[in-house]
Amino acid sequence: MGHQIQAGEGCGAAARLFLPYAQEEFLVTLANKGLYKRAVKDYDAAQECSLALSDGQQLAVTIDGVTVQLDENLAKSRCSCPSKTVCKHVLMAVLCAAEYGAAQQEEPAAKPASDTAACTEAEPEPEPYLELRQADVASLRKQAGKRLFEDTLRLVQAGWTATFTEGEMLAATINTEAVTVYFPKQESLSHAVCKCGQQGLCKHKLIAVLSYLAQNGLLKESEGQSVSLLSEDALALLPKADQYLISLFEKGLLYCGESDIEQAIQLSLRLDSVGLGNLSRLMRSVATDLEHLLQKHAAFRSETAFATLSRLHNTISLLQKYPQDKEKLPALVEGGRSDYYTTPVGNFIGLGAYPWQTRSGYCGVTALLYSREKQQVYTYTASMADFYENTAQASSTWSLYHQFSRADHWAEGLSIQTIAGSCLTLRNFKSNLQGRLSSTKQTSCTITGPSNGGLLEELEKDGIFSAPEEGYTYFRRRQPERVYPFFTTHLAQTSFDKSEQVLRLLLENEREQFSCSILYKECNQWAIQFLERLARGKLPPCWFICIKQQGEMTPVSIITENAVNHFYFVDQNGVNRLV
Amino acid sequence: MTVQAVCEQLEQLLSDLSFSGLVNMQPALLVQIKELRGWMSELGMQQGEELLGELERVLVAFQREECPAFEAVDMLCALEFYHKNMLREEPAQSEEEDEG
Repeated sequence: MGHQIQAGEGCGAAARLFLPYAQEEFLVTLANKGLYKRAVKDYDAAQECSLALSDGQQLAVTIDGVTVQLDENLAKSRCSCPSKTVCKHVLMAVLCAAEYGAAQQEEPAAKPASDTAACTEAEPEPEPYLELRQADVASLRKQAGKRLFEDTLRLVQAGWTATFTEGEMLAATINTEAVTVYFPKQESLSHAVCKCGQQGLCKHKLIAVLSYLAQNGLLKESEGQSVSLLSEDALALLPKADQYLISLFEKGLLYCGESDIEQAIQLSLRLDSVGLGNLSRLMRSVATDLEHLLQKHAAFRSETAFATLSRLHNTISLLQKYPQDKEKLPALVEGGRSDYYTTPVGNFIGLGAYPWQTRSGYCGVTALLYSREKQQVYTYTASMADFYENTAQASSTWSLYHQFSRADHWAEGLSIQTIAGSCLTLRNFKSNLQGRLSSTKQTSCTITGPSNGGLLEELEKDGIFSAPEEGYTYFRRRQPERVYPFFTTHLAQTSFDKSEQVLRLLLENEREQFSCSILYKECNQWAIQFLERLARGKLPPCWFICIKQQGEMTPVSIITENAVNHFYFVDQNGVNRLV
Repeated sequence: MTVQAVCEQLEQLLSDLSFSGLVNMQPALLVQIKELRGWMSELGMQQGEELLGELERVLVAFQREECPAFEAVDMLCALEFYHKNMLREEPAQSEEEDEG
């Protein structure tokens, strides 16, 4: 190092405050790796470094003509350069202050006589992490805002917690995302720094604080404020929703009219806005059932409509009975699908794509992507409604093919065909608790190569596909999609059941057999034709990727040693061959 | 009569009741409930038999305006819960898909 640090009066004590911050991991969190490396290099090459106390309080660090007013809350430090965010000079200033502070600590004799703070008798240091320990739920809710607080609480209750490592600072790593929050010993909450870069109380800081309080038995409820998944608005809405259901049971579905459909739609929207996503979706289903009944549509089934009404009533009754029960509530409450959370980076393996159509008039294409970090399957869906006059053809096979091949997803404008057949790295991607990926253009995607059978073999060796199924529970939350890959060397049986309109397949390898089926629908016709043709020829060793639909295994794609075959779609010439 | 057939009849009975409405309930339905209870008793489906007995009681009371509608709805839904657990049946596909 070619520099000497010149320091003014009283700088020693002020500089020592920055000692805990001079750690690579923390400074990388504050800025980024590149900026940190640049700061270290430039600081080593710096010629002139000086410290001074400005206004008698703040430490001003000047390095080669650039002055940084260091604040203990580093995100609030100001630099004389034009940068508006944390720049390399702030990092250099921290390194400089820490170096000077450490030297003063090691050589007490060398302290300047005028260093008054150092000469006075040292005050007893306040208890570390006092602010964090004293955090109370009511003020956190107020500081974060109701929406963010309740969304985060749902995440915590769904298992998003932090793992803590104590060093110079308390590092909280959020276990579901590659994000670390740092809490300094003093003013730990107000000076906390999160990797997401957001100032103030972000989702990660909240998860870390709530986890810390819970793990240390400090999660106390303030007067009138309860730590519950159910907001006051939700509690007020539940009796209204239940009253509506009781009125339907009382008069009978047969005697329902347009106003009942309207009311169900209104309730669905309100349930979603108070964070009861599962109830909102069920209520929407009630509206669809009533619509079908009114239109004398063949899709109406009184058993299904009754089951939906009953599930709604049973869930609402239990929510009203146990509004504060921390064990029961997570099973009964599921957030809205619109609650998407950002993750900085993730690596995925494409496992194929398939078309779908709902009875309520939506259709689309869904890609399956396996996350290596989180070891779970994510889905990416492009969908549209086919009930409008001008979109009536949206569910035709060719229209779905266009959705499959249209290159307009994420920042790079990729097609679902490319996404579902490649290994890729996503940056700044958003996903929800059901493992659905958002189509936001802020997500950047880098294709690293094609998906292939070799990768699946690796994953299977790790045993990640063989996790046991959860037992049956009536109130089970919707889980992320699960895939069932089966290594196939031979199609033992293929038969189309004309009465049930189902193609049944029996897959086989040297050790075992696996049965699956595809129900005939317009959007499945190419897949059925392809598999029937495949059964007549010779099948090369490949992986069949299946998902469970309505309790039946349904094949979605075939992965050979080179590529993914999306057999639900043909190419522009109407041809599909197994590569 | 098999357990499977009793479950199917129970599902049919409950959905018929919700379809026509509690206020439009016909006396024949109470007879059907009695028959079904008999089958359940024979097959040793004790819990189902008790729940059906309770449903019969609240439906009669509801007809006589001696109990509110929510009590009858509670029993109806309790039987749906029983039925789903018997068959370990997953929820029907509702509005599962939305815009990605």
